[in-house]
Amino acid sequence: MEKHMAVCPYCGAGCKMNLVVENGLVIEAEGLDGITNEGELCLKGLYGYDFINDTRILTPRIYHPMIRREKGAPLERVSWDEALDFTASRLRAIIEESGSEAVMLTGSSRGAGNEANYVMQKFTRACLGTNNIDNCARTCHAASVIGLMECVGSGAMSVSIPVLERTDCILLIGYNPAASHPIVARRIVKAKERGADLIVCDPRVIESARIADLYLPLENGSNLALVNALAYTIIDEDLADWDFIDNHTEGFDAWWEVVQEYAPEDVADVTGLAPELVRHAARRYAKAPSAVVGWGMGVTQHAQGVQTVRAIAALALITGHIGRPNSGLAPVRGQNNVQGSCDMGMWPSLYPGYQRVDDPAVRAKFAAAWGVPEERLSLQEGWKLTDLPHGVAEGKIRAFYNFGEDPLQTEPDTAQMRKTLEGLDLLISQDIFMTQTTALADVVLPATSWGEHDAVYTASDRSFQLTTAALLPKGECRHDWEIFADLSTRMGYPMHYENTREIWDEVRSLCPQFAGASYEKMAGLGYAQWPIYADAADDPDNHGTSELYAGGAFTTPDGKGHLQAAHWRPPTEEPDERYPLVLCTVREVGHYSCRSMTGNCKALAALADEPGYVSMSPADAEARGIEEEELVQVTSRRGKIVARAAIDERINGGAVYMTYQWWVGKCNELTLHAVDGESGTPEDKYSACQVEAIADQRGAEERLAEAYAELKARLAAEADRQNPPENAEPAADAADPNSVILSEGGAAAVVEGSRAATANNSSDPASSSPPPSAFAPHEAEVAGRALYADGEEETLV
Amino acid sequence: MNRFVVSDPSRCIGCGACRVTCSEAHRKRALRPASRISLVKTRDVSAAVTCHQCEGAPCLSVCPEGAIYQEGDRLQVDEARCTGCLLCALVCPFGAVYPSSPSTAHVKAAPYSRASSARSAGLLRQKETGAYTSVVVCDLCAKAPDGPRCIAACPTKALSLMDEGALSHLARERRIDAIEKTNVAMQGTAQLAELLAAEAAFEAADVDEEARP
Repeated sequence: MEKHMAVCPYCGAGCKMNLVVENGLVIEAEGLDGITNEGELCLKGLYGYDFINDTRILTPRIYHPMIRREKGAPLERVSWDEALDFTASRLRAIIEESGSEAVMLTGSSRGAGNEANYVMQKFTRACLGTNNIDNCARTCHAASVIGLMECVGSGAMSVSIPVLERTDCILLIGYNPAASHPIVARRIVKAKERGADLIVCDPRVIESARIADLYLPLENGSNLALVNALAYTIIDEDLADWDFIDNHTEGFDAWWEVVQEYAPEDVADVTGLAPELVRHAARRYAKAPSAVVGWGMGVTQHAQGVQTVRAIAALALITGHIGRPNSGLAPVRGQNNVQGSCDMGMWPSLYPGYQRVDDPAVRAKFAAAWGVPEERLSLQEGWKLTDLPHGVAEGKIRAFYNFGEDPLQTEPDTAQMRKTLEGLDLLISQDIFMTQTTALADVVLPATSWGEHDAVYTASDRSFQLTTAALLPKGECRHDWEIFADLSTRMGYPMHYENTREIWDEVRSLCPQFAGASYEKMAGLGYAQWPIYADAADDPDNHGTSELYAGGAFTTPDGKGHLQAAHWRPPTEEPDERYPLVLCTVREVGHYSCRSMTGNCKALAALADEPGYVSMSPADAEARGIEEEELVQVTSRRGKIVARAAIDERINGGAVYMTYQWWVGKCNELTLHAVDGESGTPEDKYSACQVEAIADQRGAEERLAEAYAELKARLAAEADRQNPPENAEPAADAADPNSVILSEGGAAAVVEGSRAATANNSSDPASSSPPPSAFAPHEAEVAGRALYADGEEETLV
Repeated sequence: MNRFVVSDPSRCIGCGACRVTCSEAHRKRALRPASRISLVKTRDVSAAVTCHQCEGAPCLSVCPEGAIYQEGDRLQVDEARCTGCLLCALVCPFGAVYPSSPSTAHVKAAPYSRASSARSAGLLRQKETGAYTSVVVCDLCAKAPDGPRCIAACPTKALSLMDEGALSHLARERRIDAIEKTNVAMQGTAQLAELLAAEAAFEAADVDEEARP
């Protein structure tokens, strides 16, 4: 048994843990005393590790490169050389015909890490010659990044996660920490016990609302009206910090022109809140000696996301609750390395370290460092991820390089996204699993998973931490950065790195804000919080900057905080007679993002499985004759799905809530693809839908089971194309309905394949039994109890 | 005296780490995988509810097969004996007896499990596999070396083990509290300041007393 230090691959809390490895399998995760988690882990941290072991619960891992020689052809396993040469020639052809702007790439904000993302954007900019690179922050906190960079200078959290425990007042808007970041919620519980005020604004009674001092159950889609009303009250009741406003901000008069129309009394119809409650909340926040505003997708995934972020920043600026100890702004990031993707310049307008692509001086610096002529690097801002659908429809984007994401699951309006991906001339998917998106790809590149490579992750509060490999790469999987460097070399821009440290040192040399974050500083439980400048590298006690903007020194060009206001407007698609309910997409604690990881973890998959729940108020359920746990039909103008009803008195009437990771109960079939005009963030929190009872429950259950099995089988069959039939155990392929599909894999890689297959199986204590076929129930399933005594037990006890 | 796990609702964030941990800890010990701890969420409360290991356990006394027995200060189910009649579940005053079918859905290398998480689907599954329900109750993780796993897993430290020492400590604090309230009620608020001083002294003395071995 051995232990390897890692950083949790799920949310942005940045929890340190040990992975316990036995016989080549990760068998346990143990909390370590990291800066944010202090030895604790949530259930995803505790039980979210076994996807690495390729459990095949939801979808198999991919171990070998595959290509489709032409559109519509089946995936075919090929060598790395062939796969990368094929990719290079296809990309070259598209660039020759349509220019480099016809290629779009997206980085991975998950397990891959900062080094892989850095190399990908270098490939994009220096080799392909475009800024068409983005990351999934686009669909989550892009509004925060854009709004905060304008207002205060940096798009990241201004405070640290541990600060939440020390502050005197926590104001949460559209943020459910118990479900999204349990380890952050832990800090809020402790703050509350210490006597801090907790003010929660959310249409649902989330866990934090339950323990809040003040709970503001605002109407869905009324954020900006509420935040403006809070600001109005602070000025109206003379609770503002005028010295701070005078010395450290710009734009008060124009800001007040707008905000003065937002007396809580005047917007009570919009917010649905008693004016005195709003005033009371504003007083508590403004008068607190220190205060932090925390927000999440409830703010950003609206059409006015950026404007609401600016309004929240204004709250902190007019009260001086920023730039002072234990006070600030906390847009808490959803994915373990989404802050890192932004840090690494996976952003169409920014180089690594938040340096603008349209700044010729910055371009000159990167051109010199990367050894390319300046004209090679584009000064033009690239496409956003949410530009993909119309970019493809208009023929402007022809190739899409998808790195570790599953847009078919996570982006709004699945039908539109499917059309988009199918409309591409070239879809490259570099992933660890056969996801729905990977199954459509023309090129499938298998990468190493979290736990199989070293990397630096950036936690939500700007803390760089080191995660290390616990296992060797499986099959033919290569590190992400090796794949990009190899592809770049084949396309005429040679890149070569020995290891991640070499890449990271290049990042530090180009980004002054990150320069002090050496691997030495991050060793073990160490961390480095940016900005951390070069002089910090040799000072072991210097961990960087815990709180930004000390003394009101903002990092905007003029050093001031900028007050900007906007008028509230109604959401894009309002409920009507046909679709009378608001559909809001939310998170549940046991599953993560597209679920390719958590869905392949035994304990987490057992906790919650298809089709997922639609949570609704008792009144709305009763009016529709819906009973708890029944399957129901949810429809919108975009689509129709089946989900299970959860009747919950914490849910406000007139709205329903669904999580977005389910395949059968896929709420993104229903969501509207309207975006915030400034950030491109989709309005996932608000679309109109209807929920209806299903009379034939038994039939619905059967259809559900069939649909789920079919989806799994389809992906498994796609993944099986990487395994030539020669590899299958004789006992299995005799009765295997997939043998026809399998034989299409070709005999090209027999030797290579058997070696890899042996390597995979040698560590598996159950390798003597035949591998399960795609459709037949596993023998353990038939044997019932016997399964507890199989290989699983031998490994674990 | 019996020991049992209790939950502090002001700390519970309803994350379910206790339930998953319970299930996993037992599955790894070749016991039925159902969680022995449940999470109750109403409009205003989130809290885990657990077995109290009642000394005069109703579940034990109604079991027609003798499948539930006391082992020291806690209960244990003999899964091989249990017939799944669920009489024990009917009588448990805490709703802390859980039926558990074998988990066939999510074991390693069983990729094509039943889709549904509905309770009804669980019943269908048992028929298919020929296995039937056994009840499970909290066994304080007797087979694990470090005591109840749920307590260790809770990220907000909302769970704790109530035993004789913890209970008498709690009772003592309550009694001190009661003395103060009774005195206030009997002697009037004029003497409150004096009482508070006396209480502080009492507490200091108490600390001294506890500090002695």
